[in-house]
Amino acid sequence: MSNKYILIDRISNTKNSVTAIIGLSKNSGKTTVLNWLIQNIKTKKIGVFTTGRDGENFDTITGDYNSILSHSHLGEVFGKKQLQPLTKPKIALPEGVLFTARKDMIIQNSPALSIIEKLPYKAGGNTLWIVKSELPLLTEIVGPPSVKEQTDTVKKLFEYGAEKIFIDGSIDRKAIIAAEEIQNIIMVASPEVGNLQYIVNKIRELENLALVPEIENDISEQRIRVKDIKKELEVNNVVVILEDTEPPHKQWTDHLHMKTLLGNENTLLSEIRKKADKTKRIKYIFTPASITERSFNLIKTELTKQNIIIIIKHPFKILLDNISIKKFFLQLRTIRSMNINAIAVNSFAANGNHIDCDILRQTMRTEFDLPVVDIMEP
Amino acid sequence: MKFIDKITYKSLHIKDILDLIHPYSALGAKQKKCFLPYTTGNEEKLNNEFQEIAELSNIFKEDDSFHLKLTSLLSKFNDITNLVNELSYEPSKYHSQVLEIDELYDIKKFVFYYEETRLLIEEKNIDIVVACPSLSSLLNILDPNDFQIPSFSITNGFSQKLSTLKSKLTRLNNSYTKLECSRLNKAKEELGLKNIEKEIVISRNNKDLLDKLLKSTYYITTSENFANITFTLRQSESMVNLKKKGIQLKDEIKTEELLVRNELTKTVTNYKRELLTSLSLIAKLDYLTARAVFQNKFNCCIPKIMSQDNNKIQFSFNKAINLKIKTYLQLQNINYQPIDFTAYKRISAITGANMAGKTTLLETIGQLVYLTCMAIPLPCEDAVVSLVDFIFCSQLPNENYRSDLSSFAAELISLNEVIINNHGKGLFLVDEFARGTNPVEGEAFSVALINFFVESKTRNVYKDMVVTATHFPSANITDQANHYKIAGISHQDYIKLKQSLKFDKFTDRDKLSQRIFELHKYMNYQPELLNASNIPPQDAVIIAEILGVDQEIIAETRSLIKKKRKTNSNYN
Repeated sequence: MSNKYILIDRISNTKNSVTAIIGLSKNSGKTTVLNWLIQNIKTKKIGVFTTGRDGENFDTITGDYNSILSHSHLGEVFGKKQLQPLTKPKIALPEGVLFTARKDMIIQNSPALSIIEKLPYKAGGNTLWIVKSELPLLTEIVGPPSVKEQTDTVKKLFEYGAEKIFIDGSIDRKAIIAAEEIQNIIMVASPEVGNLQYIVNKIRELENLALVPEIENDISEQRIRVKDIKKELEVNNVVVILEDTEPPHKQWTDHLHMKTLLGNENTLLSEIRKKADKTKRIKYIFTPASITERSFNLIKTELTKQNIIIIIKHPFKILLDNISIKKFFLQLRTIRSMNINAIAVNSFAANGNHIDCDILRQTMRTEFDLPVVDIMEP
Repeated sequence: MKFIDKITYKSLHIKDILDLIHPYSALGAKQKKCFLPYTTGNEEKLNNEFQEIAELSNIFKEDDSFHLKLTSLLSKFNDITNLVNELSYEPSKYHSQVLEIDELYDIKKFVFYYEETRLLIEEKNIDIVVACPSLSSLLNILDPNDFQIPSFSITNGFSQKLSTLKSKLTRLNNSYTKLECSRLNKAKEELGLKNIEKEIVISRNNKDLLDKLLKSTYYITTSENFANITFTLRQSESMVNLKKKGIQLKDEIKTEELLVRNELTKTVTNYKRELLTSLSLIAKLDYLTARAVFQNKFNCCIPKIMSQDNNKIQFSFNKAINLKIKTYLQLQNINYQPIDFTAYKRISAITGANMAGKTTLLETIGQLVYLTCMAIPLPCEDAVVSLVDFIFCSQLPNENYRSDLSSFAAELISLNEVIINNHGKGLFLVDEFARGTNPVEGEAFSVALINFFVESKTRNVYKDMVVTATHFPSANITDQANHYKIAGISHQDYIKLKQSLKFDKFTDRDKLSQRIFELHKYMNYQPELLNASNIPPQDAVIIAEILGVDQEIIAETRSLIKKKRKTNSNYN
């Protein structure tokens, strides 16, 4: 069975699943992948929304840029062969799909829609609605910008009967991936982001991040539950968990007066040493913010010496390079790991950096164990 | 004349109390915001409104599931007043006025939940239902398939023609898909491909496959670049015909849908008056519900409203609570003492030690009279109130006041403006009037003000109610006023306090908090009715001592007071 159908089977067989399609860059081909998934998934009860805007006629950036070129003297500077606005694919929805839309989209497609609910939030100043396609249609979709609204939308789509939900996301609006509701992640890579080697490195980085283990596996022996940790971490401060302690012991954690490790590395180091000398040794350090290369370099020696583990909320909060992640893999844990199910590749680049599709497919398959899918592969 | 000016509104912390009342919908919130106070002469109407709140409050206490159902329904309503107001239908220019599908959804959703709410309150036999018009016939029109859900679409139930056209389009789409699948399968077979898609990308280096595809009748080149060529399935003639028919059908569906929406607009416009009535009823019900919930949550009472010709008492509150202060004290783990207060005469003069709660008492009275006029249940065990036409509170002006006036001048001017401009029956809450000037003139002003309210040549003061808090002794000497003293700290409690607190210098916040905590514990905030001749308590030094003020200052103050008393007695 080809990778494409393995992926379809995997999503089809997960009950009430939420799949996020995340592009490595803009114009990576997410919408094409989304359309293909919608057409091929083995259920009619589908819900779709986006973390921004998808299916618009032209790319709002390159489209505008090219229109400036074609309507001004700048066109002459660039020669007669002017760049064409980048046309974007519409979202193709069969009958019965629940999705989020703006009022103008509803009015445009009114004979083909049922209005299910007016949502209490907005996107770009426009009220959002949950609607259902009553006839097949080609449309644009929009979605709520905040993670809280996105997870609420997921719940609502399930309430209205969706069994498979697809979220068209992007790498710069990736916070949704950290939500508990997401079961599957499909990374979409195209040469728009860089050359083949760059794509491989970028995906490798994400693959390594996805491998960072969850704290749950670690703490099960110590009778500390993720629930307890999450409760402690609600304050959004850096928290240290002490060795050989567990709740309900009052002193099992210590909330440090810092929101991030960045700029507080020396304070943290002195705290680690102080605790090791006087009281219980620090076993874990939780940081609600990202961990950066700079902070990590300053504290890594002490971490390895005392075997202290850093806990972060989600792998995307680890802003370390591949080498550091690999080298200090044992020192890192996440509250929630991420599950990349497949890599979708697209050899076309809107900026002209196309790659030979056979080489792209072959290289990615050799480099990664994950299913690599090109939906345009015959 | 305003019922309450901004400064009084702020001084009495009215917003903090109103914020505790939460309507469930935008309609209820608008009703709360636009609510006008009941002033003198509207006692009966206010009583009726209070009865409605009491009725709902009792039902909520008895039947929690009804309460949950009603509030859940109310939370579903959006404010569609503007949409309904704009409804109009003129056949000649219907295109511009035809309701869009989202507007029809808004109306259907309102009608759907309105009918559910109406039936729910009808079951409970609540009086408000008498005025509720039924919109079931409109709901039947907007839900021809009887789906009984608030969602909306132009379903087949609206038009047989539309239904036929949609079925045709579905059949046509299915035929197209079949043709496409069959064509793709043929292409797969003939071209020897592993997988088949409508759009495929082939590397320029894959020369064999490229040759095959370029020669094939199944695919056409749609784009190419230096690395790859993209092919798209070529539609057969029958597929192209189906596509064309599909486009034509879609146009026909659009036209028919417009006709349906036009008819619906006409129908809905005929219900305009009923819709507007229903909107105002839901707004009223929502705000009544919010106040009934407030009543139950804070154990409030419905006040007895006095008629204007009753001269026995002005107002009376039993176990009255200042919700703002109570909430604050609860956060500090301090018990709140509810207050009993009855004003038998038009003028009430209150004295008491510093920190004894004179200002809080004034504030509480102001809040309770305001809440009564706004038909809001009172946080008391029981209450008797007579309506007023305005409320004025004279306090030290805050930062909102004119910066080119001293505090004394600002206080005088604001009071003077109200006396001159406001007519009708007023509630004047006067807190330590003229405190901003020297004691001799301040006391004179204070006495003059009370005398003004006893009898005035310029203003009809016989209706006004005045509550004044003061430290000046002679301000109390008039038979026309009731005199109250706030009990404060007894001598025995002062001894206990002295033992429990070390009167050294307070250095940190915790110590001060502890002292305030202890002070609240021993302070009796209850006002007591006195004979007119009583001298106000002089407990300032004791309070300063409890709060931990420097012993040197305390000792010096005591010595000066002693000297002054001695001099006074020598003169006498």
